[in-house]
Amino acid sequence: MNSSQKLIEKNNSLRKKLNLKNEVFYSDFLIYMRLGSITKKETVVENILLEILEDILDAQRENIDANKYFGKSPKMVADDILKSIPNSITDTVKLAMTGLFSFAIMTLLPVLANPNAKIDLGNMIFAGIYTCLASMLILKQVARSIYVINRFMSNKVVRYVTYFVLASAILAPVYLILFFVKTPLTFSLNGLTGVMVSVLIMAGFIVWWLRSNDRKFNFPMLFAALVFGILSLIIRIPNVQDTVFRSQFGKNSYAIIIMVALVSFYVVSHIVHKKQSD
Amino acid sequence: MSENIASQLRKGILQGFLLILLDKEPNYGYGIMKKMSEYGLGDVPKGTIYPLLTNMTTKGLIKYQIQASDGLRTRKYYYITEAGKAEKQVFSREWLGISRSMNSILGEENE
Repeated sequence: MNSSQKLIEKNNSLRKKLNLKNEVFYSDFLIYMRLGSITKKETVVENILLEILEDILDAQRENIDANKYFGKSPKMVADDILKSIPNSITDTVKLAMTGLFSFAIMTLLPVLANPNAKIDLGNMIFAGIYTCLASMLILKQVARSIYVINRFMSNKVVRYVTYFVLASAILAPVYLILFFVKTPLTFSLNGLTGVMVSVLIMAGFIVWWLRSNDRKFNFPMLFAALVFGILSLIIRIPNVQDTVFRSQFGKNSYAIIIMVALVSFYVVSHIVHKKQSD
Repeated sequence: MSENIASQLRKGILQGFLLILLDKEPNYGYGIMKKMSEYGLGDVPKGTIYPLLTNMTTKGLIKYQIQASDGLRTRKYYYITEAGKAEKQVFSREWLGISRSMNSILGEENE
């Protein structure tokens, strides 16, 4: 477990000692800081968040509310703190690369399950870069919503619908890029190449999952990689491929299997995340 | 208006105050706030201290160490650095000069 993860765990357990009013105050502050610090060094931010939590707990012991203790708008304090932490190029590049890699893998997995599909690496890179930039914009808006938008949109349903529409509008061009942009960096993954790529991806995911700090949280990703990896291996067995793609019934059945795989990934993700939040 | 002047004045001297305080003894966030109250700066919004401490750490004027506190808890103790001590000397000199000038003009006014 790395140092920022240890700090996050300590924060999670200490936070339970906050009273309800202070918990609401501190949670907003924590989310705002974390969302606003994606270009900063995580350990520096987590250290400050833990320090503030310890101090709020001290104040709470003396019957002073977090709001009164701060004595200033928490948003202004968070903005000032974020301004005083220098940007970390290493952490930003690491985050961007993780984002791009995750996007590439998650796009590649369902495509791998179709041995006749062509993979356009160029359009995948374009869409990946756009997704990373759009995600940053969405995170900024979510952070802004904590102290600004929520005040104007007190109705939860209206707020969530607005977020959904906004996020869909920002992310819609990803599909336009994936469907309409064509580049010469196109290759097919049929036959042995496809088998090798599938095995490599599955092995990579197993190693990553075994080394990850939060195996429970990361399990849905491993699940998706293994399900689609195994599907892509089975469909590349010559007899199976011929049988499946010879008839319309075979094609439809295979499409249903892929849909079931996708749905089961969402179900597993939902169960895992629900268990974690409980 | 008077509140604004007081707040501007405090803002200007807060870094110097923290350097002097931490040169006396290392301290952690809440401990610093308590000391500030003891020295008559109790009405400074405590939220302003965190960005200042972060900024001073980034500038190398202070550094921190995580230390065990009461029982199982750990605290982030701030220490003044050599650069901080030098900055404190500059601040003290400037402050004495300013306060001499201010006392002098205020003294004339009260005579």
